[in-house]
Amino acid sequence: MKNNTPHNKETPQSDLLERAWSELSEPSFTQAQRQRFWERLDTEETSSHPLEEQAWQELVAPPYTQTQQQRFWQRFDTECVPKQEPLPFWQRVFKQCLNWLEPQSVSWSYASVAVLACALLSTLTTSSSSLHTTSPSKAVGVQHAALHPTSKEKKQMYKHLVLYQDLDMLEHLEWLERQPKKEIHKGG
Amino acid sequence: MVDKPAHIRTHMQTKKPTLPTCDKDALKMVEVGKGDRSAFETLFDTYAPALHHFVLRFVGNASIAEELVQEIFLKIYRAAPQYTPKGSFKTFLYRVATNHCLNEIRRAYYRERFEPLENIQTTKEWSDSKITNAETDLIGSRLARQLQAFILELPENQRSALLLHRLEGLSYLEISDVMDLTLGAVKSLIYRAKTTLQQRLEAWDEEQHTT
Repeated sequence: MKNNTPHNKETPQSDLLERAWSELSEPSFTQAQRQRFWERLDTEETSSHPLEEQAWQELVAPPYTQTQQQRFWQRFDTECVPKQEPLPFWQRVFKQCLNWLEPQSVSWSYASVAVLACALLSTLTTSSSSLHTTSPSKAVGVQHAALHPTSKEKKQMYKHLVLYQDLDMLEHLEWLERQPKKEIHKGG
Repeated sequence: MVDKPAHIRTHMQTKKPTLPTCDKDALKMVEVGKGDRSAFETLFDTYAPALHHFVLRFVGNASIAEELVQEIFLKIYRAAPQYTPKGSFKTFLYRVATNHCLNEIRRAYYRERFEPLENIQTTKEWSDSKITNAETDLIGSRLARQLQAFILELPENQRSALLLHRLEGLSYLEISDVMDLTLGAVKSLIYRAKTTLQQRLEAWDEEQHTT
């Protein structure tokens, strides 16, 4: 049976056919053709289509509202801001003392501030069994004691805060800090 | 060796376009990586409105778009410590955004196919909600809403390329960077998308005039 496929190499005619097929199956997409294609694409891409252009113009950008932005920041705060661990004891003492004594004491050494905190606590603990009911006038006295501790007070506070690291005392100090400052001054 | 025609030589010798090494917002992003929240706030204020528009047009649903914008910025923030400033921040942002939107669309498709029906919003419901949102949330004329509907019918990669080009004004080169495609592929995608939109809009317009 005669083989009609183009790959038959048995006769000179089939060689010719083979060459013809191979030439036919390998069209070269020339640089010039490639260039013309991109030129056409660029032209058609940049040419205006009035209806489409009009539609794009009418596709108004919706506002990204204030509420939407707030919702984002709420989510950000929940998911990305690390939860604050309670500060270690001495950092709390330090922070509280700075709050209480600002601006005079900012540059004071850690020890001095701690000593003043102790003075305050010592006065509080010795002056009242129920600190949460400390009167404004007493608070002013406490503040004065914190700024001008006597040697006896220093000794007491050192014992409580430095040796015992007394958390109750610290909480009392923080509670006092939360009280309205006006009342304290009024009381004086 | 045969000399090539002049116009081909010119074409071949044209210097390959390159992207800028990095910009000021890319440097801001480095600051975010160091924990500077205010730098992140600046980037958010600068890019969130435009990104919101892009995402909204991409998914066609206002509430999904808002959620996606949130997720994209959270992703950006979390990626900040590992961020290397190369290219513009904008292309980085839109690369993250495009991938995120595509993932979301594919996830919705996957959920519809493989999860029990009672647990999910089906594509039909999703697409119905799209239409509802298109009516209520997506500001614009009937023509614009029709354009939005046709955009949603485009294949994902054509949609991405076209929106990046049309809405964000990204150059072909920037889009090729965002989508990790050759320049030719980007041109081709945009050309096909535009041709499709044009044909559909014209057919729709004709229908409007005959009815």
